[in-house]
Parts: sequence; C-alpha cells; structure tokens
Amino acid sequence: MEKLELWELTIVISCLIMILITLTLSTLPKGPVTEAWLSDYPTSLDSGQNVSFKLHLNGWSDYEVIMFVDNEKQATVRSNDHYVTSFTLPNPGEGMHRITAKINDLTSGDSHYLFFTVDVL
Amino acid sequence: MSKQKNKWQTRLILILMLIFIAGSFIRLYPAAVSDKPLRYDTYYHVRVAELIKQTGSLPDFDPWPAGGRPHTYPPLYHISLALTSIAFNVPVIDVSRFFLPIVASLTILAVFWFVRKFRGEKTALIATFLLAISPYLISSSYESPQVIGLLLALPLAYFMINSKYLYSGILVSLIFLFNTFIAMFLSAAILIFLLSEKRFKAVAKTFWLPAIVLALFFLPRLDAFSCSNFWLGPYFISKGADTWVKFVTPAFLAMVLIPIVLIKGKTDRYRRFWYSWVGLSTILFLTNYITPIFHPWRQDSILMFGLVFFFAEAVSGMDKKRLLFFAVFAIASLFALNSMYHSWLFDRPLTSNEYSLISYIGALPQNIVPLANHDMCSNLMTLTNKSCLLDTNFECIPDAKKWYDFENFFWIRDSEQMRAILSTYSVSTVAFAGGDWAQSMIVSLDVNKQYSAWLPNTPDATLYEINLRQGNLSYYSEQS
Repeated sequence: MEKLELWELTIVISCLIMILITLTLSTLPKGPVTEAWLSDYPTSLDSGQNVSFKLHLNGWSDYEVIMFVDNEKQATVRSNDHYVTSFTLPNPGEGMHRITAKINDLTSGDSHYLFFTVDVL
Repeated sequence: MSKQKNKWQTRLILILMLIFIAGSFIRLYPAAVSDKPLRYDTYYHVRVAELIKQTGSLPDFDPWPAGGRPHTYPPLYHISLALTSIAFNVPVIDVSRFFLPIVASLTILAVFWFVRKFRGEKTALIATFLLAISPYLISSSYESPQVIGLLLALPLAYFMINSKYLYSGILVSLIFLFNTFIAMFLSAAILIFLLSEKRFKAVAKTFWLPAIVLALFFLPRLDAFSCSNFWLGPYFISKGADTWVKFVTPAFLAMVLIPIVLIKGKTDRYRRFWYSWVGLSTILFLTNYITPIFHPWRQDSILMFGLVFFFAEAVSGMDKKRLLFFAVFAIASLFALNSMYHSWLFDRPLTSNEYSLISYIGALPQNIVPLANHDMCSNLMTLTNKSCLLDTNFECIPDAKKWYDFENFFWIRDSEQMRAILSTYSVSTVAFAGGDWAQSMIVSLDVNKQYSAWLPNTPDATLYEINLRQGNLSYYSEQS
C-alpha cells in the first residue's frame, strides 16, 4: 500500500486515539453507594411517651451510629451486620426536638446523618 | 494515471471507513455501556413514546407532572421510538439509548456525501473527520431529535444550493415534525441565505408547504398554548450568561473568524449557505448574554456543525507546511478537547446515589409527589411512573408562577424564601440531588431528613419530609 500523506496519517492516528480514549474512560471505577433511611418515626408526641423509630442501612461494611436529641448524645451502636435497628429514646420533654442519627463510616472515616423533628405536646 | 486513481480510491474508502467506525464507536459505545439513557431530555421523550405505544394514538395531554399539562411536542420522534420499540420488541427506554447516536453516526457518512458533491473528496474527508471527532457534536448525539434535524439539514442544503426549493420545503416540513427548534433555526438560515441572493420567489417556493404543515399542526392545538398564564416570562428574565458561556465566547468567535480568513476563492452558493448558518448560530449564541430563550447549549452544537464545513474548506486549501502545523494542532486538540467532555460523556444525568434516591421515592406511596429539580423529576417520572412537581420546559406550563418558584427553589439563598415556597404550595417532600446547594438551608426548617444515599466524595442525595403543622412550616430551633 502506498504511503499515507501527512493529513491522511493525522486522521488515522486521531481516530485510533479517540477509540482508545473512549475505551479507557469507560473502565474508570465508580464508587459504591451507601444508603440510610428512617422509618416509623413520630412527628409529634404526648409528653411522657418514648420516642421509637427504625434506622435502615444498606451498603455499609463497618460503622457506628450515635443518637442525639438536639445536641445531646444519647446512645452509640456499633455494628457491621445489622440492616435494620430499632431505637427507643426517653421522651425529651415539651417542645420541638430534633432526633439525629449520626452514622460514622469506620472504613472511610466519613460521617453522615439523618434526623427527624418531633413536637412534644 | 488510472492505477494512481484506483490507489487513491482504495485509500479514500479505507480512511472513510475508519472515520465512520471511530465516529460511530465514540457515539455508540457510551450508550451501550450505560444501563440508562445518557441525557436528561431523553427521559421525557421516552415517556411520550411509551404513551403512544400503549394507547396507539398521539397524546394531547401529558399526565406525569403534578396536575398534568397539554402535550404539544411534534410527534415524529416519539412515533419513531414507539415503532422501533414494537418492531424489535425492545423497551422504548432501550431504543432511546441508541436511536439518536445511530442517527448521529449516519450523519458522518452524509457529510462526506454532501461535501463531495460540492468540494471534492479531500475536503469531504476532512469535513467528515472534523464532524466525527467534534466533542460538541459527540456529546449532543444523545438527547434531542435536533440530531435528526442536523442529518436532514444536509439533503436540505443540497437541494437549496441546487435551487430545488420544493424538495427543500418538504425537508423543512419533515424536520419541523421532529423538532420545532431546529426547524425554526433552519428556516431562518435559509431565509437569510435566499434574501442575501434577493431570491424572493424562492422564499415562497420553499416555505409554502412548511407554512401549511405548521398551521395544520398548531391550529388545532391553540388551546394548549393559551393554557399558561405567563409561560414565556421566566425566559425573558435575564439570569446573565453563565461562566462556561463567558469562558468559551472568545474561543467560539476565534473559531468563526479563523476559517473565514483562511478560506480562499470566490464565495459561491455553497459557501454562502454556510455563512448564513454560522452567522445566525453565532448571533443566537451571543443572545445568551441577554436571554436564555434560544437555548445556547444547542446553539453551540449547531454552530459547531456549520464550522465543520468552514474548517474543512480552510484546511484542504493549506500548503504542506501549514498542514503539518494543523496535524500537530489537531492531535494536541484531541487531548485538550477530550478533557472537556470526557468527564461527562459516560455519565448518566444523575449519579448512582441519586438513582438510589429515585428508587427509594419510587417505592413510596403514589400520593407522595415530591419537589425535585428538573433532572430528578424527569428521571423519577420515567423510571418509576410517579408524578413530580416539576418537569421539562419543552411544553406549555399551566401555572408558570408556581413552576418558576419551584425552579428557583433550588437556587435561592434565603431560607425565608424557601419556607414561603414550601408553605404556599403545601409541598410534602423535597428530593435534593447532590448538586442542589440549597439543601444546606432546609435543615433550619421543621423537616425530617428521611433518606440519604452517598457516594465517596460526592454530596448526598436526600429526601426531606416537610412538617406542615396546621398548614404552617416553622423554623427548627433547639429547645430543652
């Protein structure tokens, strides 16, 4: 076959490079997704009633959960095999309170949180 | 001489095949390795095509956004998706992943055919190559039926340059039935082209048929257009050009001026046609500094399409020394341009954790209708069949004030404004994508952060439940 002219060679090389780049980019790794959600939580309560709710976790390997009422630490749960955890906290007293579940990912060191607001009447 | 010609023909075919294979691969491979459509618009088109497939008729009402709205989008793209889905027994969503990239790949060959007719094989090959590797045209190969308009624009230009105005008119009508925006752009470019030649009769010959098609399509739907109270309003509120537009403007202007300076020889009809195209798309791109109404992202693609023909002419006329410079420049540009688009060529509209949020919302009771940004809502409605408070802006918006408030919700910097929107419209849940920075403000309100999904080094995708107590939303304040 006859030698390619410069402009033809440019096209050929560029096309091959683009195919290579496309193939390489498609193999870039994507991180794992971790999820957490709350269920069965109250939005209002009568004074004296306990605060009960569930925390669901998915995709985590090693973690600890710390519970807060407003900014006060209440309980710590460390686990690596629980998918759903039920919590019961004592009634915090009249007024609006925020119950926070802080999830510390012990593998990555990241902290995440979920919360709900309960109005104690 | 004949042997020489045969060798050139063989090389030509081989290089053309390589360009076509590379161009098609770059367009089709990202679609093939993604399990979902790669661009936001497609999710809307999938919904409409699915409706046509299920009912066997063209919908006049879009039921997904909360309250629904009249459907006015031209039908041919949705019909094509539905028919292909039926013919190959493949879900519409999978057809939508490949339909437009295949059309975009065919455009590569169409460009060769078109340029060869007017400028010969060398220029045609260069134009084909430039189109195949253009990052803008690659990344615009996935979402809008404007891609079909660009393919059909080539035979349209061919007929127009050869004074076959009736055929041009048929093609304009056909393009209109795929997408109004590209049809309007092409009509304006043709008008400029014909008026620049003072061919007034040709204007009438070209546009009588599109005018009839336009009237037949829109006249029965006038009610749909009058449904909104203020629907163009948000488009005319100047939000200013975004950083990206400001950044690329000098480069775009240089890209328009460089080939004009380099192109030699007399201006013929072929060149005049592309002058009209590039001139108009440049002006429309610059209007982004005044209003977003002309959708400048699309203008980028249309401008780049026109520039392919300019650059091919300029480059093919260069001597060997300049060509060497071009060769080095082209290869270096590939790397530079690639870095511009690589980060999102393979990305779906949402990140994996945002898709986890979509799945979570999809499993909630049907009566929960969340407020989310356009991308989230469109994905949610298509993938879960649930309703959402926002949708695309492609069609009539029945309550534009509400719509505009919902759009702005994700951009406001004031939690009081946020509280007012949530209270006024009694929003029960808000889904925040990772990029919605207003998420940081909602925590000051009486809300429940009910669900979150995380990816490493990515903001969380979260669902908030809004605690409207006796219809009021208050601030959360710590109490003992």
